[in-house]
Amino acid sequence: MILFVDDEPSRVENYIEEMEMAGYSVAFHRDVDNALRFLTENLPAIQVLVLDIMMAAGASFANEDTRDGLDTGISFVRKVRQLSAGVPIIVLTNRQDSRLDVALSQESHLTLLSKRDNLSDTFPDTVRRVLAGES
Amino acid sequence: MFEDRLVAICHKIDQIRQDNSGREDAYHRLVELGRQELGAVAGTIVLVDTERGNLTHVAITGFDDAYRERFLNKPIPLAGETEEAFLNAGLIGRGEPIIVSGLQSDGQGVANPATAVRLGIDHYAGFPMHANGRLMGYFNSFAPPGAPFAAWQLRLAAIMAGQTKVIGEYINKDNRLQALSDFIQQVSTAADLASLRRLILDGMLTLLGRENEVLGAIGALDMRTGEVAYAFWEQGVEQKFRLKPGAGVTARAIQEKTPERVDNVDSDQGYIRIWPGMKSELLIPMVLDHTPARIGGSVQQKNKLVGILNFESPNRSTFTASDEHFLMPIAHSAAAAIDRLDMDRKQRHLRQVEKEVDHKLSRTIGEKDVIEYIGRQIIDSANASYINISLVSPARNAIRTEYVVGMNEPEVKRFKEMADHTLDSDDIQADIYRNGQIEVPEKLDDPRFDPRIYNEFGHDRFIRAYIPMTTTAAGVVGTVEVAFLRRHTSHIYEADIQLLRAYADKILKVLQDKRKDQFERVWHEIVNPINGIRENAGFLSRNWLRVTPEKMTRKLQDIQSDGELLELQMFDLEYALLGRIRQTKLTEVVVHRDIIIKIINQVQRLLSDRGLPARGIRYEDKDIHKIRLWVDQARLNQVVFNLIVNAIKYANENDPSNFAIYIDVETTRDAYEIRFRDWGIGVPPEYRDRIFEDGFRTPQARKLDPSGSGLGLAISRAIMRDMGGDLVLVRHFKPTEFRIILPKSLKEKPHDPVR
Repeated sequence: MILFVDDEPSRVENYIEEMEMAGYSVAFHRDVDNALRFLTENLPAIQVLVLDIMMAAGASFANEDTRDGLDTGISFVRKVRQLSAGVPIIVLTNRQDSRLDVALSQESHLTLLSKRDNLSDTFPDTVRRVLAGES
Repeated sequence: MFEDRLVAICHKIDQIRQDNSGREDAYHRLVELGRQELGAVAGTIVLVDTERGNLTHVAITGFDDAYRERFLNKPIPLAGETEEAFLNAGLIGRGEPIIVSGLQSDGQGVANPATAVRLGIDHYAGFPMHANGRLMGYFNSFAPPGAPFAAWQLRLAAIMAGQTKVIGEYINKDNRLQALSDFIQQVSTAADLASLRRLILDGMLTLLGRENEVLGAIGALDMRTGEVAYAFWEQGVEQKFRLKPGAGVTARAIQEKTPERVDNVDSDQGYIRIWPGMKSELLIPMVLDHTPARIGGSVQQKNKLVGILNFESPNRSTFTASDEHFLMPIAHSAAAAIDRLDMDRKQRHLRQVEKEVDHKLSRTIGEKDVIEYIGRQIIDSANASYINISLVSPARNAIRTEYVVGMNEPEVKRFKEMADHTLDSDDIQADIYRNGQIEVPEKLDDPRFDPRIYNEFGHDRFIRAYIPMTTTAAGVVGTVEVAFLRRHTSHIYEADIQLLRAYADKILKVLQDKRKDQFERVWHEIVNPINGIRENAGFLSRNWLRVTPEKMTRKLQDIQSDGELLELQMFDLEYALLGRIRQTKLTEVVVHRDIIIKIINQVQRLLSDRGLPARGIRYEDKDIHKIRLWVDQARLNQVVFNLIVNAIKYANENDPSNFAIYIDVETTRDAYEIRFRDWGIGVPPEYRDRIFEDGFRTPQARKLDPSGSGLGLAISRAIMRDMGGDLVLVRHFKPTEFRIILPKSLKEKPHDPVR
């Protein structure tokens, strides 16, 4: 199962559709609280987590410094790594900020992609490579 | 043999010199030696002060305790003949040896006969002690009746006088040199201001040489209140005393930056008592010469007053011009040490503030709070009276006060109302904006000072530094004005200017940081629709044979919406980068039909993304054709879009089924007021006045929507006011109600629709 977490469903709709057409099972959550709950309950079934960075912090990260939501995805990554060291994560974002590279560079099994350079038609290939450990 | 005796005496005198046990002890030993060797019944050493017109017994031997108690170390006037006057002015003035006999019969101008009888003396030999051509004192010997002094005794007494003078000078110089050396050493290595001030005071008292008689206090200048804060120590415990501005002899010394000496405080009306029973006073200002100061736009050398020393004595006329001349250069060294430590303190404070500001910024503390924090730190560190931060608004072609620290709330409100000037005006702020240079206006009546503000806020009391904040991209973006009371200084010194500049840079960083974050969010909102267009176009081109007509229609509508959204975001970007909006073409627009209804359709995807009902936004059918005006359609579109999107973003997420935005129109005599009401999170009352501030977002809004830049309402209000209307918040909660006010004058076609 591929789990998408993004607060703008319309922006990842095509990605979801391309993944389904490629034969993957896909789940989607719009807010971090429900997404974390789903992930915790279904961790073994999740092959790849596809994650946005800019999202409302919700209750799960209300006490963390997410810079008013600019960095919520970073907090989400760190939380997921507490639950699982190995589940591959793809961060798919429009943000182009060197701070992001620095914040995520130390994370293992994580691929940082910009939406601009990775449109939905190439996404299934990207996921395949991630699952094969090629990226 | 006399020579042998003399040699033995010289050895003893030399021993006294080598022992160097202090002047008091040396004199006592010398006079006692003299009495013994001369076979006299008594002896004294007196020091003469022709400046003050008195003499003081510094050593007495052979007389009774009552005599010692009465005269030892107590100055008595030279003039006049009293029971006490053993030597009168006429005799003293000649500075020659005085040898007389028959004191008990008629005194001989030396003693009162009755006193001579009481003391058992009848013969007197006094030998002068001269130093640098000046009479220093007398070495006196007294013999009983029937035992006049022989020639060899007189010779010996003369030699004793000479040696006493030499030893006295030696000890005095040695003591003073040692004291000076100790003073300089301690002052240059003092670790902090508090201990430095104590060292300076104690050192100066020692150097003055009258520790047992004179009391002293060291004064620091409180630049904020104009007071002088004196400190002194009694039995090791610090005491404090504050003088009001302009009070006391202190004020005169501060004003002139020169010593002030009062020989008799009872006759000086300006005198203010610190200790009871004092009769004379000496003020020594601590001045740093040739200190760079900013005068106008240039740097000049000026004298800097860093403090003041106050010495007082229970005796009249204790202090002399020599004391002034001696202490002034030493006070100068002390001033340098104080200034150095004070600057160290300010630098450390600046470093701490810089760290704290970075910490606050990383926690996204609001811009206003961080800037006001910096303002308070400037006031504390530099002892300023107030800070005024003005920002340039290119949109309004004006520079206006945005932040004030150091005044009370009503004053701040009034100041802000008044301190708003166009960039091409003659006001000082506009001038600093134009020339981009740090300036400390020299003249109190500088024509650039706005007389209304100057008079209302009493600016004649202040000297002020104006520091421009400059960026590479936009030039001068604002100024920092720092005001100091003129009471203690008519200059702002260059070291402080550089510190203030560092603080101004920090303020600029805060402004830029907020701009950067803001820019990032705006940029994100631009890239989003671009990617959306590419995505949907790409998807359709790959799958157009496969997709259903409904999906095709939806994707095409999304492309169109993203295109329109992109245009709106470009306007936000323009504002974020340049701080202004441009009005372009005016067209006749039916507001509901051409703008409101289109936007409602446009935001359907946003409603869907948020899980909100599509029919949640309602308007009155009767209003559809009501408002027909000549406006910049794109700009009005932007205003309506911002209001509707805000209401969607800040809907009550706990109750989406009850989401609603209701749009209707109220007509007044002169305007159409379009009401936008929603039942979302509302605006907390404490933020009512701030929501139109550039970049401001309430804490709740920041929690719900990370993509918001805080520009929407600022831009929207600017657009409406540029149109001649307004955007107002009428009600803050349940419902939240905003009104767009469109003047009816816009119904008339303008002469020039293209602007």
